[in-house]
Amino acid sequence: MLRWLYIQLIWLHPGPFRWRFGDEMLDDFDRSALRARPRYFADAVGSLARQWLLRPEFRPESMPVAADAPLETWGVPLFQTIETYKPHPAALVQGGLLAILSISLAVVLIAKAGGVARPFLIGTHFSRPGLLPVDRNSMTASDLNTTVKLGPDPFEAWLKLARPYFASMPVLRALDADRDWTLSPQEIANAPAALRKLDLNSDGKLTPEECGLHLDPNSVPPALLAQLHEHFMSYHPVLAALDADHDGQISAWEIEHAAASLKTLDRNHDGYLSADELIPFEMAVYAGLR
Amino acid sequence: MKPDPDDYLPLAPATLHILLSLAVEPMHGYGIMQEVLRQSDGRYNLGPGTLYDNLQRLMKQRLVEEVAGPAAEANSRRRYYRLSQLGRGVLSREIARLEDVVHEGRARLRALKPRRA
Repeated sequence: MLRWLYIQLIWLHPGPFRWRFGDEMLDDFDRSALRARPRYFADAVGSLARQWLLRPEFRPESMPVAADAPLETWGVPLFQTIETYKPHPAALVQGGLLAILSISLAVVLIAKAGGVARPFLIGTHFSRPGLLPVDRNSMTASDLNTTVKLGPDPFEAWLKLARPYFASMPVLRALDADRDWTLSPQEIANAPAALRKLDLNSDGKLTPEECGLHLDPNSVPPALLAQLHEHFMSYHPVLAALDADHDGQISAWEIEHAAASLKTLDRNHDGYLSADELIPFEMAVYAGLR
Repeated sequence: MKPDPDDYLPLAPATLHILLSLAVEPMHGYGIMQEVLRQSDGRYNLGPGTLYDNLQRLMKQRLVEEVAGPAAEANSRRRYYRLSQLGRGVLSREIARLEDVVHEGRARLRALKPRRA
C-alpha cells in the first residue's frame, strides 16, 4: 500500500524527471526502513511541488490551452489523455495539501492498527537466551540430494510486454532491424538512417504522427493538439530521448544525433537497449514489473 | 568558453554535501544519501526527491556526471555518479572559501575574548 502510494507520487512528477530518476527513487524507497518512510513521503511531496513550480527548465514547455477550447477528445486514444499536463498552480497546491493529508491519515491509521513491522530473527551467528538449542550429535550425515529448480526468466515478462509495445511504435519497429525487441549497438549506430525512413513527407523532421500517434489533426483544437503531441513525445522514453529539446518533434539535427541520444537510455551501460530500458515507467508499473 | 568555478559559489549545504560525497569515488543515489548522513553525524538527512533534484541540476551544470556502475550491478536500477573535472574545481574553491571564513571567524572571536588586566 505504501509502495503504491509512493509510486503515485513519483508518477505525478514531470515526465523527464520521472523518466530519469523514477526508478532510482523507487529503489531507494524499497531499501529504506519502515520508520523512515513517512519522511520519504514528505520529501516526495516537496519534490513534486519543487519540480512543477520551481524547475520549468527541466520539463518541456506546455502550450497554453485556449479558454474556449472544447474538451471533447473524440477519436483520441485514452492513454494519451489520462495525464493532465502542467495543471494550474492552485490545483497543484490543493492537490499537494490533499496528498499530505491523505498520506498522513494513511500513516496514522497503519500505525494505530499495529501495522508497523515487528522485527523477527531469521538467523544468528551467536547463541542467545531464548533460541532453541541444536543438538549437533543428533544430526546424521546424508547425501546432498537437494534439487534446485530455477523459476521463469524474469526478462520473459518484459518480453511479453515488449512485443505489443514494439509493434505499436513505428520508431521502435524501424530501429529494431532484427526484430529481437532489443536495440543492439549496431542498430543504435544506424538509428539516423532508420529514422529517416519514417519521414513520410520528406521535410527532414519527424512529427508525433510520423512517430506513431494516431490522431486526426483536424478533429482536435490546435492548443489541445499541441498538448497531446507533447504528452506523446514525453511519455515514451525512446521519443523523449530523441526529442532532445522537447519541442514535440524530432528535428533533422536530432535525427542526425539520434545514436548519442539513444545511448542516454542505456542505464546499465552494456551498449544494448533492452525492453526494461525502453518501456515507459508507468506501463511497467501497471504490468507489475516495477 | 571554459566555465569559472567561482561562478558557482557559494554552494548550498545540500550541494556541498553531495559533491563531498562524490569526491572520493563514484556512488549511487542511496550511497550518497548514506554518506551525507555519515558526514553530518546524522543531522542532515537527504530524501530521494531532494537528492535527485540536486543531481539533476548538478548534471545540467556539468559538475556531476553519470558513469557505468560495477559489472555486478549491471541489471540493477541503480545509477552511478561521479564528480566531473569542473565539479572537483568548484568543490576545491568552496573548501578554500570556507577555510577563509573559519579563519576570519576565529580571529574575530579571539579578539572578543576578555583579557586579564
